[in-house]
Amino acid sequence: MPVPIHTPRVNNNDDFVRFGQTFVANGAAIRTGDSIAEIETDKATFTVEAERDGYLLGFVQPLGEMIAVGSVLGWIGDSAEESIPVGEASGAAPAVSAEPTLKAVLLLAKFGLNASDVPASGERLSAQDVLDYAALNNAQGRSPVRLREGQSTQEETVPELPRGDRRPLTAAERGMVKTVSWHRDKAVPGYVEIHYATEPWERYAETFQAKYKLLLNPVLALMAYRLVQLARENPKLNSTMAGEDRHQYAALNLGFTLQSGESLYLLSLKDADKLEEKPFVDALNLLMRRGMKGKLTAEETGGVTVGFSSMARWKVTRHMPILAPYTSLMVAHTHGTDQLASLGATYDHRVLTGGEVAAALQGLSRPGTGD
Amino acid sequence: MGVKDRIRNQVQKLAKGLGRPVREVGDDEVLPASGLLDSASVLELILWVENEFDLEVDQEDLSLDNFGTIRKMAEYIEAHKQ
Repeated sequence: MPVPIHTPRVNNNDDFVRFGQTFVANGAAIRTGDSIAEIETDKATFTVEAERDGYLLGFVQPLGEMIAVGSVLGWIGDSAEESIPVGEASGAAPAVSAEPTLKAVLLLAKFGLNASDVPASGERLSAQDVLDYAALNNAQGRSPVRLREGQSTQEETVPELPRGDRRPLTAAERGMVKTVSWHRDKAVPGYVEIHYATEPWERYAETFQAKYKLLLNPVLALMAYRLVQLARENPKLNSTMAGEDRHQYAALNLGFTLQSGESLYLLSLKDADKLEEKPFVDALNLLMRRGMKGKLTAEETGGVTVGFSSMARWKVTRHMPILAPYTSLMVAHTHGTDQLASLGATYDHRVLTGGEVAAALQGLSRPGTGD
Repeated sequence: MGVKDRIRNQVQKLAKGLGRPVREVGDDEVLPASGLLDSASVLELILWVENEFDLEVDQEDLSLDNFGTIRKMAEYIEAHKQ
């Protein structure tokens, strides 16, 4: 008897995922644990594995489209000759066309609603759709929706543009839109910068690399480790605003930017403050490898609490990074010239002062004591 | 084209992608110290090796002893090719 394969949830915040690719042909024998398909969220790809032995009867969702978490992705049978149940054949299972907009997602979360509960008035589920539904159903939600003064619930009005093509964003691009939107809408960003001598860090990294015979120059990883130490010493660096309060994170998850191909990832090294220096460097390198292979899980890209970003490889001498959502500090490392470089940081001024951030940068400008 | 020359071509391609001047790379030149590649590019090189030669490099094998030069890299590939 055919058994459905359900679309798994990858991230608590994502009710929809993109059906990325398939690894198994229809009719092929599969075993429990075999990789059969790949789905994508904004920040990660996730491999769907077979949960039983059998034969892949087929996938019923359109490849490349956004599909609902929990929907039937495909079917597994006891023999290759079995048929997909009527009504579930390819094309019969509805693809989700009403992908919620970012504002709609935020409102859904506020009201505690699922996107699938709310009818869309257009091709995408809009914030207004959610508000209308909430009003009709007297949804109380987890907390009242409070809009900032002057903020509209209407979708951004797109002016009449010169003739051209509309191209959908990739998963990574949509993730970037979410991140920069949080920075724009929620944080009160400031930026400070200092100059520092690069030689002490270069010497420290060379010694470390030689000691452990490392293939990769560890200077960035070591600086990130130093940042973690500083954030452990001053927990305000590892905080964000929560309503009227400052929320100090119990765990310290380091965000570290990685450019792979055309995609920019923010890796998340969990419980980074629990690691000693060498294991920290190893763990970060492993994450980077996984990122380059496109094998990151949602866990490995989410939940960042403090961030480090370098644009030194592009010879950039100054950059003002975007804050990761619900963080207050993103350090900006740059390329040095003549033994001098700048070290900057974007910070959420609701949580940190420029002086506190400058002090952190001064601490980061030279190696710590190590293990 | 031999394994070493294929690696050499890839190193030069990655260096070019970083906007660094392309030059000859000797078999025994230490790649991380060559100024041609940064750490992320070295990782990209390892990923290319895995795809090009159909092998999986264990994390603990990522050392200067195994991948520090084109010669060492070629030897590792020859020893681990599937």
